[in-house]
Amino acid sequence: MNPRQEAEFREFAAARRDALLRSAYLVCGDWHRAEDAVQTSLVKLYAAWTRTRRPTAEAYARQIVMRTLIDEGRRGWFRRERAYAAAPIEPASVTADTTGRIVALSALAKLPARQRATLVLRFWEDLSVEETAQALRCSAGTVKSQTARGLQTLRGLLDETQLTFGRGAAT
Amino acid sequence: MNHEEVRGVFHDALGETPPLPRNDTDDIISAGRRVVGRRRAWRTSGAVAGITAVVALVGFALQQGGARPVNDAAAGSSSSPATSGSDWYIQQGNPDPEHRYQNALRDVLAARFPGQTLVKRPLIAAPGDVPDRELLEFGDSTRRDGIGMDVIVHFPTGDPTWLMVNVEPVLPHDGGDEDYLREIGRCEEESVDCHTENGPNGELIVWRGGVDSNDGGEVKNVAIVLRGDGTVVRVKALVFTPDDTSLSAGDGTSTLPQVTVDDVKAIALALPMAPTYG
Repeated sequence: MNPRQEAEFREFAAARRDALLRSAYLVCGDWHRAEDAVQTSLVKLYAAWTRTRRPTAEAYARQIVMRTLIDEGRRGWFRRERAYAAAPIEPASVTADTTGRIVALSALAKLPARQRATLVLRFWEDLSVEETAQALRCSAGTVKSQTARGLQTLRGLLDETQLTFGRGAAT
Repeated sequence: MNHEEVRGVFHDALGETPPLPRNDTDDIISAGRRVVGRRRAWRTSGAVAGITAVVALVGFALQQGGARPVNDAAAGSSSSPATSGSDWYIQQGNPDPEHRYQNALRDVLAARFPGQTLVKRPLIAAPGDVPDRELLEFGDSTRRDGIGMDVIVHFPTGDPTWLMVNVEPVLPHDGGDEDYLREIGRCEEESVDCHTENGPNGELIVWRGGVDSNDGGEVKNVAIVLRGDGTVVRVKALVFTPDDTSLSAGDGTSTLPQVTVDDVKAIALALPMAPTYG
């Protein structure tokens, strides 16, 4: 990689890292794991930078992040970290300011990984069905079904979680 | 829920600004340079191995007058009855466990599908890009505790099959081994029934096959094997289509991959002991 290409990569990484990190966090709920995934994706992207067309660089990086976080064949690697999935804060210690975040985090943590990733890509990153399918290495039909199922599940989880945390914080 | 409601949930979940990253762009670039350097070294050794392979193949053919038995791939042997590029084989004695295991997978597949074309598939590919052609990848840059491999098996007729192979260590787990394998296989999340049996050497096997209605009609044959070496081997077969994202025909019109349930079980059982993780 020549100096100009490396400067381009540096600019890309600096500009896109935060956005990738936020999406990764929404998928996994753990800042450290999200950072690991983003770093992995950017290192791989660096190695492929001379062969990567700039318009697709972000899609490439996003695909690696998602693969790292949710590939079912690698789920076991993070089983210990996923132990956080249960809400870490007791309802008694919840204040009104934190209620919204805890409700959201608790509901998302219970959402199956592929559904969560699909919703993040479709509704947070505003990707099309086809772009989401590419990022998750699945068919467009799978994206549609995971979206519908994910929305339904999330709605139920939010209602359930608000009953636990929302009312407790309001009193 | 509408679009804005879902975004609101994500906004709430993000909360405050992210913590400061532990590594900066310079660290990423340094790590990237190491990857590039290591890859360059591997390719150099691969080229040497290719020449060695041709010499060995010619010598072997002259001596034996036929195809060699396919096995003992970890030793870096060099010929095969199946069709594939010479870059499958890596120099004998190569210290990288990834590449020794690549040879092993290639030999197992060659034995199972004699005469078929085997093509390495990049684990990550974006449309329009020239993808990374490596067959193997570790899960991430720091843990080095598992291997992933993707291969496309081309048959004379019909769609090729995409094989995803993962070898990973068994982690401490609550409950029994069968529950552990069922969790890896997502048996509780999907509508496809999982089945359990034992392998010839006492391996525990969880397998499933057919249309998965929870995944948009995705059709897959999956075997997950817990072995005595403390690793789990997972082999997943899907129909592969040229656009690289349609793993199924979708919406109930899917066809079964030509790599059957019996095939994925046999491949998982036939792979050699896990590589030594560095």
